[in-house]
This record gives sequence, C-alpha cells and structure tokens, in this order.
Amino acid sequence: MSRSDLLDTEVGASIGELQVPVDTVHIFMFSAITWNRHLIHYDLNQANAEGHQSVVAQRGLLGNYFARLVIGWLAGRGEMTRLGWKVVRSAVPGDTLVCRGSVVAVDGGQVDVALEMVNDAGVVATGTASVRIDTGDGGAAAWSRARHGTDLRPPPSTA
Amino acid sequence: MASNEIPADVQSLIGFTRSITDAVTARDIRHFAQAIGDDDPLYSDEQHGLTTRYGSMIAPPLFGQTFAFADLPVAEMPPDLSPSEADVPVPAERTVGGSSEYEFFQPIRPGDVITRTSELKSVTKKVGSSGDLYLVLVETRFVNQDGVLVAREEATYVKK
Repeated sequence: MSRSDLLDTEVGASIGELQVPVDTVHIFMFSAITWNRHLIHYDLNQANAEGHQSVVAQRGLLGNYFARLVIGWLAGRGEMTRLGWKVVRSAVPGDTLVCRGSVVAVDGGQVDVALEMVNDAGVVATGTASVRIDTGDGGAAAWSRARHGTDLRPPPSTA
Repeated sequence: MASNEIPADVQSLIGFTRSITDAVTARDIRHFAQAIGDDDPLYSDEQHGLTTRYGSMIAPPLFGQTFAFADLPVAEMPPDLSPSEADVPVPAERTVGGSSEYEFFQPIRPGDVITRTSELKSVTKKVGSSGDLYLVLVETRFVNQDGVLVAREEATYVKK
C-alpha cells in the first residue's frame, strides 16, 4: 500500500493483525529492561496468591504489541502520535495474543484507529491510537518540523 | 469517611514528583526491542538507521518505559515490589497496571539524555463488584538534553 493509498483509507478499514505468543522469557526481559520488579511478573506463588493463574505479562509489554501493530501498518509513511490502552484481563505464558485494529476516523492526514487484543478467553486489552500520515503537500513537513524540530519525512523517491 | 473519600494522608501526596536523569545507549534500545520481540533493524543497527528517514538508529515508541519506574533499593519499595509510583497508603493488598495513555513528540536516540519526571496526579476511590478499588493516576514526562518534551504518559494503576 502506498502513502496515497493510506491517505484514502476509509473508516472501518482493517490495519491488519499481529499474533504474539506470551512466554516467560519475554516477560522476564521486559521486567529487566524496565526495572519492573513487581513480583507478579516472575514469582508464581505471589501471582497465584493474587488470583492470577500464572505470572502475568506487564501492561507495558502489551502496549508494545499494539505499537508494533500500528507501526507495522504505518510502514514508515508517517508517525504514531498517540497510543492509549487498557488491560481488562491478564495475559499469561502459553497465551497467543491476537492484536487487531481498524480505522475509526480520518481527518486530513490524521487517522485514528481502535485496537483490540484477545486470547482464547476473550479480550485482554483495548486501545486507541492516532497517526499522522505524510500528505505530500508540505503539510506533513511543516508538522514534522514543528513536532520534531526537523523534517523526518523520507527523501523523495528517485525511482 | 464517606465511600468516595480519600484519606487525608493520601491526598497530601497528590503532586508528589520524582525525577531522574539518565543517558540512552544503543545497547538499552537493542535490549528493549528484543524484550518486545521487535526485530526492526531501525532499533538495533546504527548503520541501517543512517539510511532511514530518521538519519540514525532510534528507539521504539514506548522506550520511555525503561525510565518509568524509580530504581529505588528493594528495601524502600512496597512488599510486593509493585511500582513505587503507585505506592500510596490506601487499604488495598494488590496492585495491577490498568491503563496507559502515551503522547509521542520526538524519537529517542542513542546518546540522548532523558530526564524523567513522574507526578502523582490523583487517587480516586471506586466501589466495584468485588470491593473498593483505588485508581492511582501518575503522569510521567520525558524531556531530552535539549529541554524538548519527547513523550508523556498518563498511567493508571488499580489497587484493590
């Protein structure tokens, strides 16, 4: 899909799907790099005592899966400017998380998407994101300079 | 105390802030990308970054999470080692991450020096089906070495 195709996207259009297996290795790595020492992420007894069936994936880690879905759909044609998500069910090792999204609003170069993450038991998290798509008319360059201090748009194609 | 009131000692904590400043390394970014399972070379290969619209390797959007939690000694943390940012004295035994709302203003790059400031914004009591809940709202601002706000988060923790 080209940048212009993305600008023509319609409300209701899918932004694709991302499947992510949950495992203790990535939960551990995420706790390590974020220095999140909350016991429920690695101490099974504590997780069980708090009502979880196993150690639980971090809220922050789940948000990154939504970010990966949105960034993958955007594919360098703009910038994600906002991402919000809410966890409604714990995700645990052995789960396969399926992340999906669809367009809910299009306003010029801004597109808003709704996000959902499910496992076999149901909805794990919901979210929304906003992206600013390059318009190619100079508007995105001005926005990019204002937002980033420089024009982050890709150089014009020489093809 | 009425059902929706917050104890005075909790209210007195509203506005409490904590800041820390640290440098970003390419190694940290690579480790973060591996933890989230993202193999985009933009987050791992500095030479590749030079060929992209960014002109350098950058960090994934939520990389600010690496600075989100205070690196206090364990002895100064809550017994369950839950984030100290949500450590307010309410009658609750469990803490879970509820929701996050991030705004992104500029990519974080290797070499950046990020000052992260968290502020306790509010504590709200809710009456849930399984008992009282306390929603702890924490705002975190990430500012780089040029004084530019690169990202902002509002995180809500649920204590019950």
